[in-house]
Amino acid sequence: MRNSIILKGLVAAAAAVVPLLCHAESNVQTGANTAAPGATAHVDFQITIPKILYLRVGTGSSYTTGVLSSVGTVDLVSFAPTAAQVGNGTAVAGTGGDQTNGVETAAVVSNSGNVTLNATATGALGDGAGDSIAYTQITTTATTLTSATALPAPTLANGASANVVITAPPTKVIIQDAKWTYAYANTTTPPAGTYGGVNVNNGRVVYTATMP
Amino acid sequence: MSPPRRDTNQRPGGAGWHNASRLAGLVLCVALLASASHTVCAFTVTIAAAAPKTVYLQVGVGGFTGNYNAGGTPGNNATVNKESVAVAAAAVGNATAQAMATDSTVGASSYDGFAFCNVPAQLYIGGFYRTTTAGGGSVNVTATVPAALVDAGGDTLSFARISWTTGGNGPTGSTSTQPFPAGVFAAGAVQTVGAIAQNQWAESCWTFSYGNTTIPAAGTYTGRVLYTLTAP
Repeated sequence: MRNSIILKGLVAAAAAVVPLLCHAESNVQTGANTAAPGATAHVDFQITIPKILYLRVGTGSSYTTGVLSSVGTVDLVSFAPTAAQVGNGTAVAGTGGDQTNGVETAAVVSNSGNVTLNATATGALGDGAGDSIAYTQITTTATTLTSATALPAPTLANGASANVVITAPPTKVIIQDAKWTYAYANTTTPPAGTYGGVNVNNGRVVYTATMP
Repeated sequence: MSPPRRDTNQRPGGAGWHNASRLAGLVLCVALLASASHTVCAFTVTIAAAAPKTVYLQVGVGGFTGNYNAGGTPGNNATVNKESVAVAAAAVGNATAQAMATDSTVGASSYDGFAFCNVPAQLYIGGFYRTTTAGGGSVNVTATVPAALVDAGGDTLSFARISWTTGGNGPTGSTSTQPFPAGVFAAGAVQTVGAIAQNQWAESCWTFSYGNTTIPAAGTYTGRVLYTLTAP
């Protein structure tokens, strides 16, 4: 009994210091007004979606499973015509690329309208001895991968390529990919040498995607 | 400071019962305080029939003078709270549900001031349906849901992408007994989101999330849901 009295005292003390915490959106109706519509309240919902622009050329993240992250790997695509092939006008397939045989995965994922895509080389491929091969000798053929329409590839040039505009649907969302197959056109006979390379002798092309 | 833990779920009605029940709950609270962990609770309590017939609905922040169990009175407040989420760029469309948060600062029950919901993760919803005589009826709380949230560019995001779980703080209870259970919005429809028995106070805490299974156009999407408690 003594314990009970102490407990009740504690309860009374607690009740006395409890602030009036109940200040909440509310609507009360009485009498006939309890019928339709009765008491009502609202809640606003807001979802903010940021702009995203994802570009993959070659090795990259698994965009098909929703992984849109940066990967720093730069692939090397090489061409090595045999002596008998040099300059014979028959295109030479490449080696390397994330899909091997000179084939790269290319993808754009975006959500803010049309995307402009281009490619920039510092200049013609060089061999370090003053000789060069124009980037126009390297062709890119786009074929479908997972999207219904293949992502078009810029035509390489000794500098900035022409822009390729990917038109967004009314949803403003673009999810488009392709296999880009690189080939050496082999229509000229350059001096013997190794042209380009891993970020040397103008061997690197930078692809750039932009959107509004 | 908020009141200590309380007993939950279908307490007997009447002021005398409330006091006795609450005291019993406090005794239980004192006994279990050291070992009690955070658990999910439903909370409904019978209230005494009284005139005038009244329906009261509260969602988020607003106004209630005092606490119901201490003779407080319900009131109107036009403040509309917001549930929001800003999806990180790396997470857009990755199928990981994105938790939403409320701008409501109220987690306390208007019934007894108990700190029932955890803001900003949870949104308080509660109310009562009181008639002048005893009875076994009940009323539904419905949500009138627009078809889609819309951004400034006219892009849309279906309300069906938003779902919620339900809970509340307390020593015991079960989500299966929540008066306002978990659900997902029915886009462009009126749906039942809970029920209150005749002469009962009922409350839950909702935790909303955005499904994030697709890549929408960039933008800030907004939409308003109307909750209604109507007596027969």
